[in-house]
Amino acid sequence: MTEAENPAISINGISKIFPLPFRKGKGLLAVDNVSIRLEPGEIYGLIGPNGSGKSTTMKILLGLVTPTHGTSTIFGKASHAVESKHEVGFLPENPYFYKHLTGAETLRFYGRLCGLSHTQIRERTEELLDLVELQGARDRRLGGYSKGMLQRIGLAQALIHRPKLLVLDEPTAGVDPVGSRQIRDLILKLSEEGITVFLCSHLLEQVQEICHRVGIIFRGKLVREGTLEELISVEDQTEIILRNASPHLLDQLRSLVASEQTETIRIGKPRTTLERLFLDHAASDRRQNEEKSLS
Amino acid sequence: MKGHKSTLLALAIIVTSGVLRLPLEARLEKQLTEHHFREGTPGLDMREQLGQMGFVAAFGGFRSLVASMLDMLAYISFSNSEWGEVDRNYALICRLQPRMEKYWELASWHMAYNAVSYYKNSNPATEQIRQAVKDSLVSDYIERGKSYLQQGLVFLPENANFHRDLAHIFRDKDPNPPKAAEHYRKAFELSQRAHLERNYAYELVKCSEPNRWREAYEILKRHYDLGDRHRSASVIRDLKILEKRLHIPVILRIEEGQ
Amino acid sequence: MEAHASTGNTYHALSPARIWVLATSTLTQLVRMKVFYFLIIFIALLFGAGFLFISLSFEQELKLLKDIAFGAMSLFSLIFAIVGTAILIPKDVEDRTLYTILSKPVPRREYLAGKLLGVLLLVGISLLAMDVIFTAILYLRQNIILTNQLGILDAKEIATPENIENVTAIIKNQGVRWELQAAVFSIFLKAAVLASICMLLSTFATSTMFTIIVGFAIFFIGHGQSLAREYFLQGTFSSPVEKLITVFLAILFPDLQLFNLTDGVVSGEPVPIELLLKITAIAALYLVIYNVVAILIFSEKEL
Repeated sequence: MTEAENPAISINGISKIFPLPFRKGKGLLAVDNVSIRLEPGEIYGLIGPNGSGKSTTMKILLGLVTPTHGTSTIFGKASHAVESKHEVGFLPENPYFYKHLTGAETLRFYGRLCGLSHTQIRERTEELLDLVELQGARDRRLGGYSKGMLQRIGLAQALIHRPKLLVLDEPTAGVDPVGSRQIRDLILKLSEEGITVFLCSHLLEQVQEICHRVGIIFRGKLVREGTLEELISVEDQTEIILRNASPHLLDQLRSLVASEQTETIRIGKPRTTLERLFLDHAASDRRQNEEKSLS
Repeated sequence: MKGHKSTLLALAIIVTSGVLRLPLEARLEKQLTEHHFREGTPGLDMREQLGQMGFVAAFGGFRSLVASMLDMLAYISFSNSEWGEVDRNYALICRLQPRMEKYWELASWHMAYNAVSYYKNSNPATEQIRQAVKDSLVSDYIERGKSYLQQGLVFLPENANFHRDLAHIFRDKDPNPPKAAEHYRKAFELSQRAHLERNYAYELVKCSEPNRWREAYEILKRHYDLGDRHRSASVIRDLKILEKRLHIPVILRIEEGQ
Repeated sequence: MEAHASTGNTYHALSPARIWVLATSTLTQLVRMKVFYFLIIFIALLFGAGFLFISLSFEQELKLLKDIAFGAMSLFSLIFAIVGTAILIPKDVEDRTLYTILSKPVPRREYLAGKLLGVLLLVGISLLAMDVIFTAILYLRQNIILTNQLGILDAKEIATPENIENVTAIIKNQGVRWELQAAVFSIFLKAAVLASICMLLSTFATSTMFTIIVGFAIFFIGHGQSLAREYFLQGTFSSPVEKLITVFLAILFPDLQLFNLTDGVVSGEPVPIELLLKITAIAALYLVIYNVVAILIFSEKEL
């Protein structure tokens, strides 16, 4: 196979059952038959609440966890194979790198792990420190970095060996809005350079802003997947967004709507549509569960 | 499941290598014992040996340190004249490091000399004790002193000092010239130190058999003939006694103190 | 699923460069925990042992100094080997540093080898430091004693060449000899074996405390393993339970008494080179066995 034919990520029907101690035969189904495919150059966001199976999916993709069923590849190479790691850079959630190392030393450490030469490491370090705007803090120990700075040095270490795929777990978790924006801009910039990005988040606005495609994972299952447009537009609903509407006008609108065969779903301030979608799903799931427990 | 398979493989490796390495370990242990890094236990049967090994194992690598600490405790007991305590400590110390010559010597010295003089000489602490009890304690501690050195010889059979110290006890504490002579002879044979041979001769003189006197005479005369430095007062004194006893012709007798 | 087959195909050999990077970073990680303060305790101990108990005979004094030095070396290297190893992997998992490392082209076996080597470097460097301090203090003490003893001979007017030679020989035998270095090396070997066992334990242990407690238990049982082995090789058992326990102990645990040269060296035994080589070889054997098993388990571990 040539590389051009290979998807950046191909996750095929993976499931993961974690055995429960003292309960033979029973296990915790963390990921349930999930398939995801990413073409090179895409930005894909996997969203779901905590404990929904995002991290496990990501760990399977990186070969840190072995799936119970299914396979996963990165540019055609099996996830658990060391070769696949040449193509991927990973930033885990809330990473703490070795605190005693400075920013530049951290990049050097990871560069050496990737087998880069001294010259390559020196060049890459400069490029990346420029890219993540940490030149000023290059010789400070990571112990003194802010959350946003840690996240950016984390991004830089993920990129040290020029991977074609970047995997980010909650890249802006715990980062202040300014830092968060910085990281978002960086991701977009990298995408423009042709890097494929796969990110996990429970912060929906962020996913919405930068991802080409989104998958929603809930209780281990990939429940919805598609482009933002597909997911967000609800064909039988129309949203009217008004500025400075008087209460009188709103009353008029309501009565007008009531006279037709139309149902008012909500009048209020607009909300992130993705979040609503997600909440809807969670609500319907809860309803189903309640019905199940009643019957 | 794959995880189980590798766990089984891991267990298999542990068990197989465990069985295979046992003879290697045993052989190395034997060599270590030959070079005295593991204490051999001569004269003990299997069960007793295992007891000794288990005892030693309990201190896992800190045996020498434990012995040193007990030695300091023994020193404190000695300063307080607690002889039973001194004895108990040294019994343990010597078992921990039976190849430390110094420990056997110290143990014996504390028993046969310090404890013995404590009960033999008048001192306020022992005034209340009846003389018969004191006498019995004295002879007990002399025996303890001998016993440490004899045990030491089991572990260090080539040790000249143990024989010398035993000879001293048989000369000074529990007079027995034939035994004293015997130990001086062994001490001399092992160390080739001249004064031990002279001591051997002095003890022979105290014995009753004429053939021993003849041997003593030959030794002392040989020393005497080596020159002035070897003509100590004791050599001259005993030679004169022997010349008379053995009827040495006057012409051959030594000249000093005519 | 052929995780092993595929990882093994392209990476046959271990990469020494990568292992070294991991080892040195592990070393700095450990050194950053301010472990080297122990040297102050060590120096205090040696000065105490070397200069406080002057009521003892010089042989006892020098022996005490050596015993305390070797005891402290054993203890510190034991703690570093067990605790140092036990905290490494859980710490990397907790900080997620492990994920960043293993998502680079680093085979898991190299990660483990690097971590172990890092601990061994720490143990080695600290033993070397203690050894230098110890040798210096012993040499100093030995010379003070020699001067004193020769002074005593002079005062008693028995300073014959024979006596001087005798006293000098006794003191030198109790003083600085190359065998002391062999003893320090044997302490290192023992610590290395324990570190590799703890590395193995921490590949499946669920808590650092577990690894530490079991590590120390193995230290003690390892010193009695020869009893079980003796029993096992003799083959005389009074009951099946006894047999089972004996087999279990003999096969599962290393014989740590094999690495105990210190007691003999303190007593003044010479160390044949051949013996030293054999001990090193058996330590290497233990290291390989425990490492292979650790790698096997760690390769399959869900992180």
